[in-house]
Amino acid sequence: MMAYDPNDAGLTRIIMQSAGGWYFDKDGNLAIEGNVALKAALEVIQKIQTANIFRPAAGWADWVGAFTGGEVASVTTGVWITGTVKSQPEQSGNWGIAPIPKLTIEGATHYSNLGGSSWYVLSASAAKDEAADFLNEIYAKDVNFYQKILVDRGAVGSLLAAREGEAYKSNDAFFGGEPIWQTFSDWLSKVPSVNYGTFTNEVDSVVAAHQPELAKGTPVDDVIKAINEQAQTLVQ
Amino acid sequence: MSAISSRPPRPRFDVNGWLFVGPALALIATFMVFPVLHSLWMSFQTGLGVRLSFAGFKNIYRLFNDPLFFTALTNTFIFFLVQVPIMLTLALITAALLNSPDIRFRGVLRTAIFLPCVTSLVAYTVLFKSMFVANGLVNTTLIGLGIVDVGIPWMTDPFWCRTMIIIAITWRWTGYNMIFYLAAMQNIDRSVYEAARIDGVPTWARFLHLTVPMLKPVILFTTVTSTIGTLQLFDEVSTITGGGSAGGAAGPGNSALTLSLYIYNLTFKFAPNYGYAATVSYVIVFLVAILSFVQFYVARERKA
Amino acid sequence: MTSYALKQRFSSIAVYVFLGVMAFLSIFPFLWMIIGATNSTSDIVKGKMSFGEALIVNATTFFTQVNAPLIFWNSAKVTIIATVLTLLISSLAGYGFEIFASRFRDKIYTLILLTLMIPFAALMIPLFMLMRDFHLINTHLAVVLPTVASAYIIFYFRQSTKAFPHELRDAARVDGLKEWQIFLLIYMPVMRSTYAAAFIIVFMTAWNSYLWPLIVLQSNDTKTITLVISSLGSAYYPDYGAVMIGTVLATIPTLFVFFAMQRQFVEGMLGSVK
Repeated sequence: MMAYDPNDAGLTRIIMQSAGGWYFDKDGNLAIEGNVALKAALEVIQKIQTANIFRPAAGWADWVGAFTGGEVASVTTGVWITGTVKSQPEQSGNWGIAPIPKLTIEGATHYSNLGGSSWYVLSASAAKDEAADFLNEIYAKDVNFYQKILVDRGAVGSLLAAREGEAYKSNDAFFGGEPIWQTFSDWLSKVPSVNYGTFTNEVDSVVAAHQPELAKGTPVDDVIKAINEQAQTLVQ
Repeated sequence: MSAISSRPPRPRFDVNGWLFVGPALALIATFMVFPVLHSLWMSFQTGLGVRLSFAGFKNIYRLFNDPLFFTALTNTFIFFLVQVPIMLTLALITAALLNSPDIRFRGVLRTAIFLPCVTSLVAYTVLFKSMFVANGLVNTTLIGLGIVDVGIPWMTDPFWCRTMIIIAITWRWTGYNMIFYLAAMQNIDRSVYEAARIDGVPTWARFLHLTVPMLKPVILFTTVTSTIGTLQLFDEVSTITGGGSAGGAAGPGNSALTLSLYIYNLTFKFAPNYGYAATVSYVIVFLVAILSFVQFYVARERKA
Repeated sequence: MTSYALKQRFSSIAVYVFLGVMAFLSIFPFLWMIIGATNSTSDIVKGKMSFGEALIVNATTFFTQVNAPLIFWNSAKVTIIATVLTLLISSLAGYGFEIFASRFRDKIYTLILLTLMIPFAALMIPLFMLMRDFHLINTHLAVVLPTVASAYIIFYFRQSTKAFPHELRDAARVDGLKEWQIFLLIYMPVMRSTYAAAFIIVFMTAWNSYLWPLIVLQSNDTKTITLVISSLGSAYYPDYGAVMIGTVLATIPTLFVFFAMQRQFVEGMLGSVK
């Protein structure tokens, strides 16, 4: 059992991206209708909702409270949730990590991505070169830096080389002594890459708004059609 | 010296007058008149971020083809068509009962009912959110009293989410409106009531046929201000739906998406389209203008 | 007992029940807030309605997550600057409009009243851009500036100035006082109840404001208590116990002002409608 917030499309995005799909195609154009991965993701969401196998969550606080309070025993989201999970010392040793299930469509994998932060350098910036150089030296090379932010802040970097550091090789007693960072790092390299485009937030709010309809049994194709219609006016 | 009491107009340029009103005028021009004109100009432009280009009436066309705008408009209308009458009726009845001189503890009761309007919109919304969580206070109480068998999905069902917001707003503003009615009732001549009472007119009829008609102007005033307030509803829906965090819908099925929240999202949550957001904001200007016109019109009628 | 008397008694019981329920529901969230401050998050979301033992824990969480002295100072600063400037500038204008006649006075005054119709949503984007051009984003001045010349407060002062005795003004003039001295030394002390009522309106609006500060205040060290409460609820480690502490602390100043100045409070709310 897991907590699920029908007003949040995070899980939909996780499932969609695991099969290499997104709200947009590789060129950044809106791709809702005919999007095999999105359709498969929404079908899973509908199954979860109609089978009533989730603990309904209302907003972030309630959703987090469901697993930190021990009401549900699993959470499917980005690796950054680790810190929140570990905020409950009495649950130490009871947790483990597992890859997400795989869809049955072409290109489906057990791996996906959700949220996190990114760094950008504005092309109009006066200190464009310095900024790029800084990011290049620290974020793209400094393995020790990644060890430090993992230990001090619980921040997980996407630099694959970071796995060679001490902290990334350690076993975590909270997760039954597993080398979870090595595992996460393995999975990281297998996440299908997609084009997030400019309007992910826009389309995401539309998808989230239509998820409750799935719970009522509205056919997935109808929901996709409605999402497409609303998303088109927002993406401009 | 000229007649002071009648205060004749002095139609000459008085430098002192301009010095007194000058600072306010400068500020209003800078932070009110200029922005609202700028906003009007922006509503004819489109583009992302600072890359705006002239678009003519394209934004208005987009408005009429934007399902999310209609969702926001519908929600806003639902909130004021349902919430304003409920709240004002409650406020009116409460005021009428409290106005009776035989009621004991009047002061305490009045203070208690007025108290909600000292809270900040954000603080009271957070409190309501914590009471209405899935297995929280409201649901356990309702189940305990045998009113419902399973908890009401306050935060996951569009209808109940709107209901919760309406309950919350009603809590915050009923006492506020009651104070206006109480103040107006104190100006009504008691002898009219006495005469009606002696003639055997029942309480409810006195309320309906004497009190309500005499309070017409203030009822109108509270209706217009409440409606304008509801048209601009933001703090509550923003707090209930996540406090400005990115991602997700504004309440289940966007049931808490109001016009102001939509404008905020278009500007600060989505890839910013200032031009289109300005167009949506002029819808509120338009609606408020109509309402204010109605208010001025009726107020004028009252004076005549 | 006659049936009439019975009916009377029954209806008066009904009245007390109705008013009692209204009063109870109005007070209840305050109780909930205070009780919540003493309970852990897991008890709060279960709806526990009795005092718990988590007060110290909640307070510790709140004060470690939030730089409370700074946040309250920010709120106080915004409120104090807004209150002082608004009362000064808007009362000057209200007084000026009433006392000094000029050719354009009434046209300009009508224009100012018309600005009351402008919803904030129509202003926020251009205001944000304006503040950006003034390099005032993330400053408390940006929060305060757009609110200082309040059409409503100007209106309120002009209405109240109608009751200001003209004899006082003329006597002062005869004594050779300058216009600004009349305002400062005579008008302000005489109109103190108007100032008190206006103070309440401005204080409440400034202390509780949310949308505009949410837009212009972007770093954690400039944020006000309202913003902090809103973001605490959606933090990575959401803690309702700490949120309750925050709401209690944020409500204390307004409650204090309410109980200290109840009469002016109601006066201020009623404004010039009476």
